[in-house]
Parts: sequence; C-alpha cells; structure tokens
Amino acid sequence: MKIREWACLHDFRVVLGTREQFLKSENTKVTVLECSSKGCEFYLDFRSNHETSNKYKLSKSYNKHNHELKLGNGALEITSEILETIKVLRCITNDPGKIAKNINQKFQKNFDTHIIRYQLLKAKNEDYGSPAQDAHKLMEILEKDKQKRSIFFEKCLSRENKLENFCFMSKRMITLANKFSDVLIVDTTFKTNRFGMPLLDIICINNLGKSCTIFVALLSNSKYESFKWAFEEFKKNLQVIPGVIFSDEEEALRKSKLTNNT
Amino acid sequence: MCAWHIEQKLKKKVFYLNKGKNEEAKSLYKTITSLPYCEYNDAFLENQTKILKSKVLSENFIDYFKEVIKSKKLWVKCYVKSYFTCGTVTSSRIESKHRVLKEYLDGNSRLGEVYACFKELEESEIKTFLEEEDKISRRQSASLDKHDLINKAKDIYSDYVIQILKGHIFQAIHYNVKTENNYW
Repeated sequence: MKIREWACLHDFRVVLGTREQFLKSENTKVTVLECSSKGCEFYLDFRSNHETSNKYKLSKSYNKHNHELKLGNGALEITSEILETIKVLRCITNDPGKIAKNINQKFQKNFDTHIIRYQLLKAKNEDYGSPAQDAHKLMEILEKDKQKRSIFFEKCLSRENKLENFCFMSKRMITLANKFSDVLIVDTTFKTNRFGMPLLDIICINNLGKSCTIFVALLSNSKYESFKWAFEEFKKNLQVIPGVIFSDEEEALRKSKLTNNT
Repeated sequence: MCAWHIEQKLKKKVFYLNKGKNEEAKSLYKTITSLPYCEYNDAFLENQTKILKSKVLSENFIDYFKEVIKSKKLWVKCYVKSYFTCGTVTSSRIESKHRVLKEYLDGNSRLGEVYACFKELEESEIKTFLEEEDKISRRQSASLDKHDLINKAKDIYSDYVIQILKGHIFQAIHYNVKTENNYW
C-alpha cells in the first residue's frame, strides 16, 4: 500500500503493456506487465490462484530498465497558487489537457494530465457536493435564486420522489421571450450531464440579429410526454403567440409542438 | 422544419447517383440536394416534376419522396419566405449555441454545473448586446458629424449649441429604440 501511495505522488512516466494468460494445469491467472520501450527487459509477473483467492501476488520480476526514467512533477508539488489558477481555468475550458499545458507553461513544471484531471474532480466535489447529492444541491440553488433574482423554475418528480425533469427561465429570458417571439428555434442535445438527460433549449433572435437563449429544460427522456410538459411550462410565461418555430425532424418534438397550438 | 436536416435525409437515399460517371445522374443528384433551398415557386415545381418522371431513381425512393413533399410548405425556402423568419431556413443558429455549450459541459458534468454554465452564458450575452448597441450609437453619431446643417452651424455657434442641435437632428432622422433601466 505504501509503495502504491509513493508511486502516485511521484509520477513515473513508464508505459506498460499488459499480457494476460490462464494456465489450466495450475488453475491460475497470469498477468504480465512489460515496459513498452524497445529492448527493455523490465517486467512484473502477477499470479492468482483461481480457487483460493481473487488477489494477485507478485511472483517474478526483473526490476531494471535499460533507459533513464522520465520523472514528472507529482501531486506533492501542487501549491495553492496552482490550485487557484486551475479553478480560474476551469471556467474557460473543460479539457484537462489544455489546462495542464497552460499551467506547465506558466509555472515551468512538468505535470501530467491525469494529475490535473484529479485536481479538477476535487474542485468539482467542493463546489457541487458528491454526485449522490447533486439533485438536492441544484434544487437548493434554484430555490435561493428564485427569491434573489426572481427566476422561474418548475420541476417534475416521479412517484419515488426522483427528479424526472425540470426547466428554468431567468427574468431576462421571460422579457426577451415576450418581446422577440416572432422566430423561435427549438432543438435538443445530448451528453451535457452525467445522468444522460437530453437538454431542450429554445432561442430567439433579438433586434440586433443575435440569438439569445430563452428557455432551458432537462428531460428524463426524449418522448412525446416529456416534450409536451416542457412546452406547457414555456407557454405559462408567454403572453403572446409566437410566429414561426423551427425544429429538426424529430417526430415527438413536432407532435408536441402541434398539440400545444403554437 | 430545418431545411438542412431534410437535405441530409435526401442525400443518404440518393448517394449512389453521385458515384458513377453518368452525367445525367449527377445532375439529378444536384437538383435533389438543392431542392430545400429553391428560391422561387416555379423552379421548385419544375424540379419536382423532373424528379418524379426520371427513370434512374428506384420506386422506393419516389414513394418516399411523395411522402416528404406533402409537408413542403414547412421546409422549402420559397414557401417559408412568406412568413417573417429573420432570414433563417435552417436550425444552424441553435447548433452553434450547442457548440459553445459543449466547451463547458461533457458527459460527466453535474446538474449544478449545467445551471452555472447557463448563468455565465447569459452574462456574456448581455455583455455582447451592450457592446453591439454601443457600436451602433457611435456609428450613428459619427455619421452626424458630416451633416450639412452642422457643418454650417460650426462657423457661427459655440460647441454647446451644436451638441443640442445634434440631439434634435438625431431624433428627427433616426428611429432610435431606447432601453429602459429595469428591462435589461
């Protein structure tokens, strides 16, 4: 265990290839880790007896490389200054590779991307809590903003008190929706959150020809019922009838649009 | 409906036409793919009959094409033009917004992050709006300097009078949309 911790703190950059075997006569699993550079004889041979236990044990090894090891900067060398810059950069991009490159240039260090990725995850947990509390935290934030900034939000809970879908509109969005409701464009995207909820959003075109978001909803599935729910919530805030609505060719979306008489 | 999505759907079905050396098939492929962007009604009808009469296409496609054409008033440019659409025929505006969203979010981000991201995007939207408005007002005031009346008045009156005159002329010439304080 101690060795493992030490290895994590000092980041050795050795690329290891794995080779797995199953020996039938001895009833054991064998995995061999080998250094991938040319002519290097370094290897670790782990074996586990299939019947007695699932744990692997180191049986053979050759602990010498024929080349020098590249040492990268480890997690020990992350200072509070670097942590702050990570937090600032986090707002700009989500890509740990880009952030690592930026920090290595700024502080002249040699951090690997997976160390930065771990720090990003840590910062995320500080801000939004553990993944299990995610929905509760969000509801707290929304309730707070409802009183502070007078936003509109609505949620839909299932029978087991699970969050199914929710939508929100800020005060500015509502005024925009009522002023520039001539042309609306509706679409959905995926891969925006860890629960696989599709994100439905509506945009309008303002008086300067720029597009502005006026409605955001996260839905549990892309079926007709959930789309219908979202459009009904949107209609609650509208005082005028929109002119033209564009969408792509999704059957459920089109059907729910038509039934709402918009 | 988005014209681009329909173009993609038609493209998939008649992809084989563009492969060979047959010139006739290639020209047919072009007319099919450019069908959603027809500017005039006559051109659209002409192309439609051309496609329906052609012998190169399979019967399956023609049946499918007849189905698609039933809703032509929703996606052909010449019919969409009759409404006020700010010049949009496709949903490319929202697709570009999604591109920006994906910079911040990925498949592993939290719900709280989604909300924070939209908050930030809204602030940037307001910023660009104010910048754009500033640009326009500056351009308008610059164009006022070349006005004949002001050029003549410069020799006679002081700066104070000219500023007031500018305001009056500005109101007379331009239709200016004023923003209320509590609105934005």
